[in-house]
Amino acid sequence: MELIELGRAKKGEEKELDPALVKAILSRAPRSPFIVKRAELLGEEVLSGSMPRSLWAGATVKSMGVKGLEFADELSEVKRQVDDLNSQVESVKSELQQCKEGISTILNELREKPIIKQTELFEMDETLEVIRPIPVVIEEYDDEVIATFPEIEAFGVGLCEAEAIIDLKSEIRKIFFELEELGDKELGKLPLSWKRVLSKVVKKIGNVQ
Amino acid sequence: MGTSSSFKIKKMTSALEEKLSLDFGGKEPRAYYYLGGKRVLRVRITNVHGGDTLSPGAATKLRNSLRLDWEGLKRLYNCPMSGKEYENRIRGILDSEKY
Repeated sequence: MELIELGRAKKGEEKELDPALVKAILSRAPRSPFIVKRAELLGEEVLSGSMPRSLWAGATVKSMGVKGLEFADELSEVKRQVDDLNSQVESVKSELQQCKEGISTILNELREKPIIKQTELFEMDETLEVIRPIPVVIEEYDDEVIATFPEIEAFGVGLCEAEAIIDLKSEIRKIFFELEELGDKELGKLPLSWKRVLSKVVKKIGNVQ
Repeated sequence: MGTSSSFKIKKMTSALEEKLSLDFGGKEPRAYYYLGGKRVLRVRITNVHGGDTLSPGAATKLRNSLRLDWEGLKRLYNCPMSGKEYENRIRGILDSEKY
């Protein structure tokens, strides 16, 4: 816009140069105090009439030159700010990537964390009778369910709770008969404790097939 | 490898058979780990899906039954942990605790 105004002034239209136009040119955009002072001095000379009309165009050109320098400074400042913004955007992008990776890790860990419930077994099968309800922990994973009798480390797996419990009953039965056929001297402390626990919650009513 | 995923059932079974002398048999392997001629731990490898990779729940149960942390299970699975090293570790646990 200012270049167009300047162009008009240079095309021999000095006589028609309106002081209001010079004032308008000088009034545009923020400037440094030094540049403003120089531009204003030139502008004031034009406006006050102390400067001959023949010099108006030259004064305007000088004023515009000063404004050009000022504009270059502003451009430089804008470029610096854009560079700063770019740097900040890169930093934010990097942090976002880290957040994304963190969320992905948490999601993976959550997928491996089961929902935990508790229940009890009241019935086994034709070989074992439940003397006391057997405490069972149900762990529901994404696509599998595990039923555990923690005291003897027996567990059953299934696609649903019922399947897992049926499998657990089968495991309890297997462990009962595996331990029953062995003397206590052949068992370590842990299996021996399993045997004791089993003797308190189930009793044999039939033979395993 | 995540905490519990990516354990191949076949490779895990072989590792436990070779290193811990476990005698797995049948469709769903179960075996006792012997120490000093006594049964001390019961190990079961299972998978609800019938796939070749241990599911998270089954892997967690296996890890618990072997008294290992995930790092230990990975070392046993990937070979750095020998059977002797595992035995020493279990002896330490059994001697210091209630088993």
